[in-house]
Amino acid sequence: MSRKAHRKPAAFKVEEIEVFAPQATPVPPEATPLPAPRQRAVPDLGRGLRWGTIFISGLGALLSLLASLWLYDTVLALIALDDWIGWAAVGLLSLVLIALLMIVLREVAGLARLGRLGKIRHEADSAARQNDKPLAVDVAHRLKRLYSGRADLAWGLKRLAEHEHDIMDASELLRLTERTLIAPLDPLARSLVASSAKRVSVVTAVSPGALIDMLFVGAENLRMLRRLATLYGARPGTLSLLRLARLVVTHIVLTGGIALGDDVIQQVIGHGLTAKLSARLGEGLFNGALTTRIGIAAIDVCRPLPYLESRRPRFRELVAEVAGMR
Amino acid sequence: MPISAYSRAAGDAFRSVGDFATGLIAPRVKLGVTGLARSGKTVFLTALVHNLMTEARLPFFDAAAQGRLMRAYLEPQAYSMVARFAFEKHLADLTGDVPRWPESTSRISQLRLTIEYASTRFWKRKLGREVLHIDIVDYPGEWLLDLPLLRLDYREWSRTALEQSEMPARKKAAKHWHASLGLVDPSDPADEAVVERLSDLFKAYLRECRADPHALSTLPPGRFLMPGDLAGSPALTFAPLDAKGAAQFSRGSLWTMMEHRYEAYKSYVVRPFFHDHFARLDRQIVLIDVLAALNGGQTAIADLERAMTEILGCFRTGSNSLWSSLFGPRIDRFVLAATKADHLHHLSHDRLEAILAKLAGRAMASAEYAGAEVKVLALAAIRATREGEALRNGERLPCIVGYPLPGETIGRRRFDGNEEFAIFPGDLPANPEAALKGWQGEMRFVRFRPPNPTLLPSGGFAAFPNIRLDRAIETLIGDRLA
Repeated sequence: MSRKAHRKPAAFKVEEIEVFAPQATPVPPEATPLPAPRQRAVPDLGRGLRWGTIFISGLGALLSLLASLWLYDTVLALIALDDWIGWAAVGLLSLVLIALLMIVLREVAGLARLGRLGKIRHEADSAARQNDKPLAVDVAHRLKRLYSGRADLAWGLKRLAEHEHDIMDASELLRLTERTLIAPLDPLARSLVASSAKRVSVVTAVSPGALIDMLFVGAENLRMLRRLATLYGARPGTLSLLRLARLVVTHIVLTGGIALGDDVIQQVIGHGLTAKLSARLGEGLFNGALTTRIGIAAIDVCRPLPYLESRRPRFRELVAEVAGMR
Repeated sequence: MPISAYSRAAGDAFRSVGDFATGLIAPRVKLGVTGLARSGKTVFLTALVHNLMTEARLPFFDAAAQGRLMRAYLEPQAYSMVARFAFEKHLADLTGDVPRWPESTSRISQLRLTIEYASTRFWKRKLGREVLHIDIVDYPGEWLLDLPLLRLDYREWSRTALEQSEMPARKKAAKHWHASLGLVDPSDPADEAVVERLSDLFKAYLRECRADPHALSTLPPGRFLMPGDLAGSPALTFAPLDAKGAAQFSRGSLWTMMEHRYEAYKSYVVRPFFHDHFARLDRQIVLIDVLAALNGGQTAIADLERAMTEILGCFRTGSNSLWSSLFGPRIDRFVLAATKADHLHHLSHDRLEAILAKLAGRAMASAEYAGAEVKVLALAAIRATREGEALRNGERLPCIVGYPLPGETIGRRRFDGNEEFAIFPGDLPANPEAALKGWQGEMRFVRFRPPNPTLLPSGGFAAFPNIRLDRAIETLIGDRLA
């Protein structure tokens, strides 16, 4: 903060001078940027014009031109054929276009929401680490807006509003936000993961063919991802669901090395033992465990705050939940 | 060490074994609240009890935030030789038609608060031990300045007291006392009138030092300024003398009489306090009014630093082993709080905490080294102000808004107590070192009227707003309510 060496004390009459209430949302300062990935010094190949790109965009333009010409001709032909058929075709066409536009918009909105969750988490992380009060206030405010319409979080929002004018530092504010808004969602997320894993295990164990297994596991995992993301406020569409799936896979790859320590080894040994008893049962358990792991990674990716006070769900606990031991 | 010291130590050990055994049946924690005069002890304690009893929202006191507090109520205190903390009276002051700050207390007092809670621990739940008695002991911090006297004899004490009174900040206040001290010969036969005169002048000097423009705090013997019920007794009627190089004094001389009374003061006033209360604390909070000292300027700050070092040096801090909790419990959680944090905008709280941590520096480090949990907080047990921003010459000043007490001044403006003002108290130095070494910047901290009480629909008054009271409570007793 650059300020003068010191400022003199002063008293103002409340009526005489403007007294601002403390700002609810200060201008959000930029979060500390992620460290820039180091560029490898690859010499410029000097390819000049990108012919491939030009080819594809040219081809695309040509095709869309042809398609619109064809549509135009068809509609004209239809109008010529009979008036009402033509107008019906025009109506249908506009319906198609509007629906397409809405789909695109929804996908864009879904992607934006997903991106927002990631940004909030990143900023919350840096605010907590650097004790940056304005940033933390901003994060809390955006979370409140994100969850403002949710009936299940009304209690938490009310609690949070009660402490709005309390004096807290950045990490305290984030802890309070986590406790009131995010922590109530965590057990739900866990049970979502557990129920998906259970379903996957059972279906794999009883299903007749490998293909059905694969399809079901894929579909169930995507469904779980969508429900988790919706729970934490992302409400993904198709594209953002795929993006989320990619994020989750990246997350598993990145953190896989850490988790390898105990859980995976247990899992492999356990799998070996059960596979000796029954191949199908072993498959089922393995797929269930995989789903659980994907679920944990998805929670990591979707949760808008880092784990400040609550603990990250652990594989072992979730397996116990799947097995109905909790 | 004389035999009596050993017997006392053995007595202490016996009693702490007894405490330990009672603790097994009825868990309790002995919480010490102290601070120098006018540091806000009474307000802190009233607010603490009131918050717990009214089930106030304390977001960072875990047991309350998790909804595990069932009930808190006052019970007859355990130790019957000490005054009870007049909680109801102080609360009535704060919630009266014209709210006012409770009168300061100048003696030790005690209160037992019992909390029923739901434990998160399996065994506590099963054994049904979900009750905690908190014995709160409130005592003046000045009394702690007496503890070092236990190690000084009269001759040594006289020398240090005289040396201190020669210091530039105090010399003027000590003028009358020095003058009459020059006329007295310590080997003269004892004369009650002389003793009384010297003692009165000495007390006047101490009082003068503590008054506002100086605001000094290291002024032992502590009981001279806060006599309590001992006022006028011989044990409180003595003064340091100048030995003027003489090594021996005859019986019946002025010196011997003073020496005798000094020893009486030690054994009847200081020692019982040490053994009955001080040596048996489990948790401690020390309240410090750093802002008043900053108002008083560099001498006041230097003096506060000295007082802090001496006070903090008295505590037996550290983590408890089974052995130590049996025979000599130590204070394992310790909170240092800069009170009246509501006189500052919260942007300056970090700086206030930094200054306090600097003041307490060495004592804090050694407590942490011994394994105690130490927390430094900027705290306001009752928050009397709101925050806002005022515009001056195009610059936004972070202000606090409240009703300043009548008689407070800032610049040339004098407040009458009936108008609300936005106050910008000046900037605290960013470097805490600078605050201790004569900071040139201007600061003025004004005291405010207490906030208006809110009546609860269910009767009684809602707990007052506070700043970080919940963090203080969590550090002090949070672990015992797990």
